[in-house]
Amino acid sequence: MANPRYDESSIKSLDWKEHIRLRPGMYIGKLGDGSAIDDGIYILIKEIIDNSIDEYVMGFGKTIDVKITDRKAVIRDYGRGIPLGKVIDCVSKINTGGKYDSEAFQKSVGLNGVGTKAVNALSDNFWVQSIRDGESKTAQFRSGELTKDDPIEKITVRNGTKISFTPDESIFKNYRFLPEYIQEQIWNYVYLNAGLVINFNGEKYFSENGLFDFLSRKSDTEKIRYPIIHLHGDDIEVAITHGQQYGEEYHSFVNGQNTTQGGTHLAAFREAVVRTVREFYGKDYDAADIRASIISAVSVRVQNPVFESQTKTKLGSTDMGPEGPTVRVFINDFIKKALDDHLHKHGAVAEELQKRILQSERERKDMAGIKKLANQRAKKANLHNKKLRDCRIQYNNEKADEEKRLNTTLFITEGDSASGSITKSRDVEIQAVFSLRGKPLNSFGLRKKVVYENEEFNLLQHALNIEEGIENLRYNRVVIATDADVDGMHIRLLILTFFLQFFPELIKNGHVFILETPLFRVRNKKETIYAYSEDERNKAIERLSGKPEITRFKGLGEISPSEFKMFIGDDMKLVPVISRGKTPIQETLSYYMGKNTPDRQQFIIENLKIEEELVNDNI
Amino acid sequence: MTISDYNQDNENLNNDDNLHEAKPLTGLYEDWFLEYASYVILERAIPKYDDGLKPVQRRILHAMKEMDDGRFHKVANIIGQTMQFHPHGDAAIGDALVNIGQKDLMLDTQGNWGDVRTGDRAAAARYIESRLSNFALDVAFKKEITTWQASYDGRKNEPVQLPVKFPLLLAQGVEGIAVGLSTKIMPHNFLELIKASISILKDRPFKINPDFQTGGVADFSSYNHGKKGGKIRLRSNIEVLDKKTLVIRNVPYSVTTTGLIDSILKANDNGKIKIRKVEDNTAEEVEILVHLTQGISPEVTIDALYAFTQCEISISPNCCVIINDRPQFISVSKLLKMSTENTLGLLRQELELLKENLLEKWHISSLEKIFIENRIYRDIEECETWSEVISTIDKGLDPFKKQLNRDVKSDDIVKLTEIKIKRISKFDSFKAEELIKGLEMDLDEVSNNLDHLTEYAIRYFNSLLKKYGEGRERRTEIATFESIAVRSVAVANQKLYVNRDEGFIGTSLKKDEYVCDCSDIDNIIVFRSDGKYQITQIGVKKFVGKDIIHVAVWKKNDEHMIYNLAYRDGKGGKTMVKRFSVTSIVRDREYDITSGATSSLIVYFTANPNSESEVVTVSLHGLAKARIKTYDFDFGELAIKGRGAKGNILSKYPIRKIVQKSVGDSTLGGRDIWLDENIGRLTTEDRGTYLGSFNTDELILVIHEDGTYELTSFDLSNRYKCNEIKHIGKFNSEQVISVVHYDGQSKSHYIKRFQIETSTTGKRFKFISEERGSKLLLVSVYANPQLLFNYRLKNGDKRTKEILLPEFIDVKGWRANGNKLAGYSRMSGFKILEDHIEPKVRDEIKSVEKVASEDSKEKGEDELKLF
Repeated sequence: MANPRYDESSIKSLDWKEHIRLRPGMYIGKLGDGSAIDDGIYILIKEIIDNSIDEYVMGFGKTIDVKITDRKAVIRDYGRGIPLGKVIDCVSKINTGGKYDSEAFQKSVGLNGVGTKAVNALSDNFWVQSIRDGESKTAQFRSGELTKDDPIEKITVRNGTKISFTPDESIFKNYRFLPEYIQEQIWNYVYLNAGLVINFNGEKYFSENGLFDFLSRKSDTEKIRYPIIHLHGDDIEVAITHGQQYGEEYHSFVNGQNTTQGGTHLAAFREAVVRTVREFYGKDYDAADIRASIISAVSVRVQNPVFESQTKTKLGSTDMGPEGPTVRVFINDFIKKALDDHLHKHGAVAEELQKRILQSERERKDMAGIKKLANQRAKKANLHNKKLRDCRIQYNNEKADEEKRLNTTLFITEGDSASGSITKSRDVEIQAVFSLRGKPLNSFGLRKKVVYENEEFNLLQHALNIEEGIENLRYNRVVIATDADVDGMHIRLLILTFFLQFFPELIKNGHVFILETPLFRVRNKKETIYAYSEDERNKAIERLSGKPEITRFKGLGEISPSEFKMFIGDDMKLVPVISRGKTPIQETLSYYMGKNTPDRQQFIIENLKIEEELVNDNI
Repeated sequence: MTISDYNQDNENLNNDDNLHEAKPLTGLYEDWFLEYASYVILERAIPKYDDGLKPVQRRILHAMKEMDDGRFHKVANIIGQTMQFHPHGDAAIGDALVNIGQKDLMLDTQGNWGDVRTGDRAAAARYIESRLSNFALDVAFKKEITTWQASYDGRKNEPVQLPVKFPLLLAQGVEGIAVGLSTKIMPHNFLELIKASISILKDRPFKINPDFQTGGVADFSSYNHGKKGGKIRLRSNIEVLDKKTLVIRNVPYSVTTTGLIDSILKANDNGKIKIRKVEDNTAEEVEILVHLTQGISPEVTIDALYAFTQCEISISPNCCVIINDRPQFISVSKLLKMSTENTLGLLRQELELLKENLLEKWHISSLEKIFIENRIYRDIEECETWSEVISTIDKGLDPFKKQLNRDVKSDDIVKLTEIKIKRISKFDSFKAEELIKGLEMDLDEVSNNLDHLTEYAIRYFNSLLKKYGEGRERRTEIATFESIAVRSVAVANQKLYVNRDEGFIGTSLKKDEYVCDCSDIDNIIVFRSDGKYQITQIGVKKFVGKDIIHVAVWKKNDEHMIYNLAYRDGKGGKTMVKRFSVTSIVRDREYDITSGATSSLIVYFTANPNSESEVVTVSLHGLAKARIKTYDFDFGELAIKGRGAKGNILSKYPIRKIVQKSVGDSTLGGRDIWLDENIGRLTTEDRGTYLGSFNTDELILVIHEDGTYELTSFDLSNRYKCNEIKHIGKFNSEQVISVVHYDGQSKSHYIKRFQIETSTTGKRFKFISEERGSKLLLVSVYANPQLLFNYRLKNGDKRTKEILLPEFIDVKGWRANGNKLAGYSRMSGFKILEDHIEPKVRDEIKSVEKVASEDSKEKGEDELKLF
């Protein structure tokens, strides 16, 4: 091998656009095709809307119009509009912006002036229009390069800024916007900005009660144990209730940014809740019992927040501002006063909360009997998790490369059919394999004990590291990679049921996916086509005229490792498992996974899927 | 201004561009669930109605048909062949194949195929061999009328369903658990199914019941035509070998001997039955010996085996089949009708196919004949081109085309050109004519069969009966089962104790007062001094209230358990007396036997198992104003009333004490006992034949067909083989028994009259000769029976003789042979008239005459001389 040359010619100074396009991860986290909520294309939308929100926060423009199609986004606000002379600079010159000095912008998220430029650089087509007092300026870009610079013209519409962009296909391969994720983003905006109206694809989104509405949407009102506690303060808003589910559910925000991985503010909030509750009841309840089944949201405004990552999903600031108290003290003081007051005023709520805590205590002690077994198992799994082939980088490893971290994936495979080939063809940096043997238990209606009693479940829990909640989840994506046949579907049902039953937050936070693998291989001597449906198969047969050989993939075991690389590489097809808002999880589970009912029997009989291909020529 | 206004000046916007939603979680669940459910229902677990096969079975049979060369094939090889069509594991296919083989209908098997009775598994697939049975080849295949589909990899074709001309599904039965539904169809009897199919074709009513390879006895009264919701009960045959041993002769369907023995051991461990040992002597026939513990009644143990072990099981059939790609729940009768119709349709298709072939043959033969006879082949000698040859022949045929029944195609002509010279030169018109005539006759017959398809189908079914019916007779005996009162057959495996003061009862209170033995499923009745009582299931330790005055095992509907009671009605109230029974009740509810006034107190209480009355001495309190302070009271004066009755006044004065003076007779009298002939059991319900009213020590007399008599108690657990009994009734030691019997040694008929002198129960005494050929003809227990019989004179004339038995012979000992009935030849038609004086029992037996089951066999062979 030749020595790599290192001289003047190897030193490059990249243009900002090139840099963004070369290292998009630094700006927008990971890329992806839109099947995950943290995929880059959603960050692009966020960057644009964030600017409109800032205008709203400043008091300009109560409405934002958003129109998004599969591959294109249009955002129009009714703020002041970018000063016409600086429109082009604002969207294409790095370190250009109007938020550097203003006091009001100090509690906003995006102030480094990178957001819009990144969107521009990563768009195939970026179009901006600013309207100020009867005059309008438009410009158009491709990959950050100006392609059209229209002169200022007269116009008779309200002031504001409109940006439309189409993400670059060459960067975001096969991308597609999923409305569920955008809706989620938009709901978050309106909940955190009471009074704001967002018009998304013709539907109006607004909230009067902020986080109260947010939590109402997140929880099943019939399943919560007491009315949502909604607390307000300067720079802080909190909503709390307890539900019936296993696990703890937190939603945290800093300056309107959804910090999905929490951070200092969430840690302080969890601590504060426990302390306040203990003091209120005068009992030293176990922290785990107090927090079990909690559903809560906390939003704070921090001056010049510091995040632990570029994607701003984890708050790192210890102080509320240069002169402010620490985040911990601030939140503790607020919760201590406000929550204590609330519990005193609402005796019924206090009573229900206590009942919930006592129930959790009972359930925890119930489990104590198998704790010994659990410990033994944990010890063994710590030494070596025999069902897991791990990857080098884990999601909870904060020192690792951000983009890689976000791409960490655990494949849950069925039996021996695919674990071998996935293991062989995986990217060992970020892709791990967990192999199931046969069909897992139907965990519907079972108690959490089973997670310890059943070895497979126990090892899976251990592999994911979610015993104490999902903060330290080891893989950002949990991909169920079962055969695309009926038994594979059954296993998907069983695994999803397991997650929904015991670790719903894993699914609620969008970590779970299904790997789509081809159903058919159609090949002649020259060409091989993989088909994901009968439709595609028929098209492929047409294309490879003559008599191509058709193999129906019965199991992933039929796919050679070399072929598998195509299915789990950059072009990996993932179907997200989305449970947002009011998905009736319990009803769904008990209907499909519970006892047979005449209703269900009728449903099956009426909706049978039949496939049969008759041969016409007699033999 | 809205977004849409903006779009106009935005050149990048495609109008057809939309935002597509991802499938939500519930949608994923629905999709996957339906795919899985549909697959399991349609492709795995539920059979199709027409050929009665699950996909794996159909594929096995199809693969075997493809391989069929008359020889046995290794099962491993068959599995491999089947895999071309069935993309699943080899074990699943192997199991399915063994399952078909074990049903002994479709496959001929070689090697160890396991045993459904013992649960022994078949030998490995590489050892055992199989081929399609002649029956299968006859009824299940015909490729020309089969619908085909591509196999899963598109490389081969497989049948959508096989043309099975037989109700295969009902004959074999099936079990399948799918998602959301399941199927369970019982096997039925081969002969009965075919006969029922014939009945359907003849439009006659029919009924089919399951029949099992394993034999046994079954109760199909709630079979409900195999529809969902029906239920059948199956039992082993259990015989009493001797007083200490029972023999189980077979296992119920779906139970193995191992499983059965395990269930017996478990019942023994739980204390439900008490046995000493179980032995499995199964060989060609199932034989499980159950050795009983000393002093345990075999009869009760049989009941207990039925109640607590797999000697009796109940199955809920559920006939679900795929009809037109949909699972449907139907009755087996409907299924048989549909199957018969399907067979009819297939027979028609076969006939039509045959007709077509015959017509074609006829056409070709006729054409050949014309071609050769009329020497049309000569015409082509001049032809130069091939097309000329064809047209010349065609022209040559023209005058004869009218004789044919279809147009002459060029293919036909080509065939004519291929006829060898040798055939033309050796052509025999007469033979050709014969052949054509033969074909015409065959055609006539086929057409006739098609016109009378139903008759043809009946003939077809009859031929199946004849060809394959041998050895397929019904094996499972149909019967009606009595329900076994579980509590009455459970072994007393516990001891009941009571702590009266503190109000506890239970089996663990060993330091306290012992009450009685009981079983752990018994109910216990507890009376307390405050007049409250309750019935509760026995437990280890139970609190039932303080001051218990009476505790005992309670039997439901026991009308003879009468409680005599005196209680003080409220504080300082009058003292009331009453007699009552507790026959049915809600468990664990407190009842009150007093009027309900507070501070009521029970002052006297007895429990009388046979409704005995009693006389008590009542002593009033010293301060009472009454003149007579001590007097007797007879409970017999009181009528027995319900437990809620307030009772009669015993005294209005306070009572010091009540002491029992004497116990009286049972007030209710004996128990009425009936014999239910259907099940061979005694009952206290008005069902079957009334045997009489029985007091404690009274007995039943049974006279068996084999010439023995036996006395039994009237215990409800007794069982009687009613078809082997000549007489059964209440025993009366005065009773004279008159019998007519035949002595095998002297080859003569005897009449004897005797009285039962013993009172041993449970033992049979033979009162006729032990000699071979001896038999009992008639029995009467009436006082003046009259015997009627026919005989022949020497000239052959028939005469009838009447004999009044008491005049013919005196009462003698039970061992005596009696008097010979001599002087009559070729006696027959023995009967006894009993309309004289009834025996001394309250009896409603109506039967006036009993007819000997058979005429005397000795007719002609052995002439009897006159005196």
